[in-house]
Amino acid sequence: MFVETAPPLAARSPVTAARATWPRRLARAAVPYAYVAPALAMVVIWTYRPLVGTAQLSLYSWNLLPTAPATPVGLDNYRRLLELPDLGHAVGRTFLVIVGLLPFTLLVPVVVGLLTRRVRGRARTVYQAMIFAPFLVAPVAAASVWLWLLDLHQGVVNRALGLSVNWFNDPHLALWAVILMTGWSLLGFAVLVVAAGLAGINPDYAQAAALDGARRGQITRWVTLPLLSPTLVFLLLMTVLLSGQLTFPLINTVTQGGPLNATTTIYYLLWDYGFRDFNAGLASAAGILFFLGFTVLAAGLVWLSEKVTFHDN
Amino acid sequence: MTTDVAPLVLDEGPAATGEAGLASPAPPRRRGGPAEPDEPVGEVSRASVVGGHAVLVLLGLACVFPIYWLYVTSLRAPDDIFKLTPFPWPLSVSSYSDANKAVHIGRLLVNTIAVAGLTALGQMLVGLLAAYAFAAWRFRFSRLLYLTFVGTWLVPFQVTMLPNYTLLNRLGLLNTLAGVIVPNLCSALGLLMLRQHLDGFPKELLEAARMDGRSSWATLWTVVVPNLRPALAALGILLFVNSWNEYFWPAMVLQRSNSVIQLGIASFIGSADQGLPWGPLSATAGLACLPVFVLYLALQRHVVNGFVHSGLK
Amino acid sequence: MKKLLSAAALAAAVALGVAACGSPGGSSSSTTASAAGAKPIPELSPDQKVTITFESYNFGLAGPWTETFNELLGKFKAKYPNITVIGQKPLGSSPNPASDAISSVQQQAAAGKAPDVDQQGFDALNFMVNSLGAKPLEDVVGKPAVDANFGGAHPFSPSVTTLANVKGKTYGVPFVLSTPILYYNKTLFTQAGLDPNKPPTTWDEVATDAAAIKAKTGKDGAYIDCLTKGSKDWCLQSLIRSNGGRVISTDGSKLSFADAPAVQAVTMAQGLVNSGSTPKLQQKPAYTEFAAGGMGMILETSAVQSVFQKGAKTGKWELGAAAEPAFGSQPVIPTSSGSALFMLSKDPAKQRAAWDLITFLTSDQAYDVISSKIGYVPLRPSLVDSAADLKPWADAHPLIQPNIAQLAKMEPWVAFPGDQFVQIRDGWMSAVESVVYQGKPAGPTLSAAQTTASALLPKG
Repeated sequence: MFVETAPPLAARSPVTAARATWPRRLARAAVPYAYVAPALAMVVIWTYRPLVGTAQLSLYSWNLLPTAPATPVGLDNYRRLLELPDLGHAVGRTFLVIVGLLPFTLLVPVVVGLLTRRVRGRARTVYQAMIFAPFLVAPVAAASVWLWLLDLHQGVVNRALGLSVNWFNDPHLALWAVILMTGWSLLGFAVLVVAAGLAGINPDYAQAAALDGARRGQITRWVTLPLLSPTLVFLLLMTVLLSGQLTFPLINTVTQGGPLNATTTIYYLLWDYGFRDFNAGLASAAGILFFLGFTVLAAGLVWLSEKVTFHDN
Repeated sequence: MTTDVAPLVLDEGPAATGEAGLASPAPPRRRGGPAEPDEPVGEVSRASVVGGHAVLVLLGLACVFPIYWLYVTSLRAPDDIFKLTPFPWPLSVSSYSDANKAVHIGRLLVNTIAVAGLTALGQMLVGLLAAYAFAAWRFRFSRLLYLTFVGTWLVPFQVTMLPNYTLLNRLGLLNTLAGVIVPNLCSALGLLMLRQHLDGFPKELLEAARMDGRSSWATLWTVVVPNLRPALAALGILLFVNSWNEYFWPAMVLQRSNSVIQLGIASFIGSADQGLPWGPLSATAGLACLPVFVLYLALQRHVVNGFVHSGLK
Repeated sequence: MKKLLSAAALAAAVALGVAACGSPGGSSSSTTASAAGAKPIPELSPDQKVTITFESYNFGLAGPWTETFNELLGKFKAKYPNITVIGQKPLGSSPNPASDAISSVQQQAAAGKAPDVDQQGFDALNFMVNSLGAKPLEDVVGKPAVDANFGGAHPFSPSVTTLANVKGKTYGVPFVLSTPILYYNKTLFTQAGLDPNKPPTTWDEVATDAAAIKAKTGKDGAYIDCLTKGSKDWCLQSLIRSNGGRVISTDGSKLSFADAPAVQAVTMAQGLVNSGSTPKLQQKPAYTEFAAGGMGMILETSAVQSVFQKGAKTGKWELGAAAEPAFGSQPVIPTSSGSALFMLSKDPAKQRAAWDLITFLTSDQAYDVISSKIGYVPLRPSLVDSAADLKPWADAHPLIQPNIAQLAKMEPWVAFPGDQFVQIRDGWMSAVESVVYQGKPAGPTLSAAQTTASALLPKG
């Protein structure tokens, strides 16, 4: 284990220790920083520099052109965004998306995980591959797949089920179609995580409970699930964070926020308003709002996870 | 209520359970893996295994069906595109040749492989160096630095895209594949996973190498990396897939030609003036997913292990 | 505590250092290079090599446009070997590049690399001129050159030449456009007992015919592709103008899309939906349904004509085209959807090369290719009478006749002023969409939208 201070065995030769000169000590201390340097440089140049620049720009009103001045407007951009009439609806839709995804990322994986612990071997590998496949499909390709499947007249879903449902163009259905597409993609990931979580649970607990006479159902409810809670909270965090990341390209490609704003989640609203406005300050404010929102949400969920989970230690 | 000694025997792990016909009235032999002490015995067990298979088969088919339908559509003869038969007959590659005429699929695939491969390699290298620093040294600001890296996960794309575009322009990297790769070289996911794996790395090995007089650099490459191969393989695949599926950043950088395959798919979806060409679109989307599927199948075990041992708890 | 403070100090120092790029903003002192009355730029000498970029939202889409452009650019290279043209599509991630067309120029201009020639919709005219720095062509190449390009053996239609004019100066050369055409399914007309050679000429007739088609054949009657956020406002402007109204006052200071004539036009469309003759569809599913033979009539741009022709061939139904219907006895005033070619370069050599490209792309030769390959009506209408040019094509495609006839009476697609013209239009069109397809009351909804939009007009 390399530590910053002089190595313990240097005492072997007191003369050598005394001669560990200041420049050499500095060089030794700098080594870990040298290893971190490439990553740090990348992150500062390509992530934090833009972040600070964008935060700065969000306090101005400017249409990005070299021929136009940037007028400082203080927090006006933020006020405009927060006063958007559709903001409340967009937040509601975003919430609906997250709640709609929970069956795909929590309910089904847990049920499937519990029911199928017994399946092993080659068969399990095959099933795992099949279930995980959608997660590997790129958002743009997934959009193509679902555009084809859910096409009103030619799509196999409508034709096989004899329906005439206008999935992407009915304002009442479009958001559910987006949830379906996203859930399909996330399901494999969630199943894998839950399976890993279940495999990591020490069987001693359940066995001890069985010895005390608990039935299978009781064991599941009072022993297995609580031990699974860190995994479940992790999945909740992932659902909240990934839902924005995954739904955005799908909405952007398939519905563009429509029909009639039915699929305009908070991400799409800020993107659309900020970037269609040609006011770089407004777009920057939208980006910063995203960032702050994510941070607060993530911090909240991490705090929640530490309060609620039941660690095996 | 049981005083049966059998569960205790089972608890001794796979070796014990593997032996058949132990003296005690043990439950039927499991086919490997640690026992679940809440398992019932006899007939019910077989039923639950069959049930488990059934659940997984259904879920697997439901997940895979859209992808299957995509490939089926791409292999249909042009006149049969709207048929509903589960298997395309006669098989036809005209969709693929049509797609190739519109976008040079071969070149797109080669470009995307290059970009995804180089990005994944770069991210692994940069992440490995930084994770090594965190794991092998204790140094000032390490916690702050670590949070800095993890914090990049919270910075949304909208914040960084414009400033990075301007910087790329100044560096002369616009419309090049390098411009797609360079800004992404530090991956928060990669660093996180590598750090988790390296935290569990036996420090005695590092200490031994140091006492042998090896430099930290030599230790990294001769001691650490060979032992990390499975984790590196798992991470490599995940990073490759992530980069392969990227859409928004390549869309900003590559304006002069659709050089990566995701942009190629989008070029079919975007034509507002024509009806969607389902055949070529399916062919392109199918080809875009194929390398990722193949890679996953070849290295599936590593990916699963990567999840299990990444300490997601 | 000390550690936290030192960490915070470190973070602040990093942030300040990183942000040392100064305050944002450009300088308003730099005006456009060509002042009024400046000399036209010199021609290029044959060995003077110039490279220019040409941006169009038709690049990068898999389809006939990219092939056509490549063919035209190849011909251009042969004619001007010293000029290299780099074609590119708009910067951005929308699946339909046209949505990114304006922001792309803006972002590139911010990075100092605006394209030299840009194909842009008429709705962005004000923004192109006032903010993005489109060059007034008379000032750059001289009025005689501009007039010569509009003239020639097969001159532009006079109503077309001023479509990209602002305050009397030509900023763009109109490139491709269409007027609203009523395409109809002759087969369905016959099946519904209507005369396929007498398409409706007024909206009342459209309503009757659509009802007949719906009742007798069960297929949808009619669809007006002018009333959704996605369809933009170009042909809704035509409906309103044809009903005697305006969208905005002629001086651009006051919106009027909630006035009576405009509201009536929207109410007419709402009636069609309420009676069941018009399906509740977005733009693409609607014209796809028409192409598949499932709809009687559609008011559409001729840009999609090739889709309809292909659909008619596959579905074995006969396609017809008619002029835009009128409101009673009022004259029909068609508007133009489409785009013009703008020049954005500042360097004189590039400006000259850009002008050469613009004149080439709007020449007789170019329209021969564009019309025959893509189906747009040539903006030099007499080409269809010339046997050496487009007469054979025109004879084989009688469907373009209504478009050519409407070219003469056309009015511009009015662009909203200011930097927030997209918000104004989108807000209005969303209101229209909710009135027509969701049954909201026309008057109050449109008034509310007008009030909101008025706040987005430029002050003063």
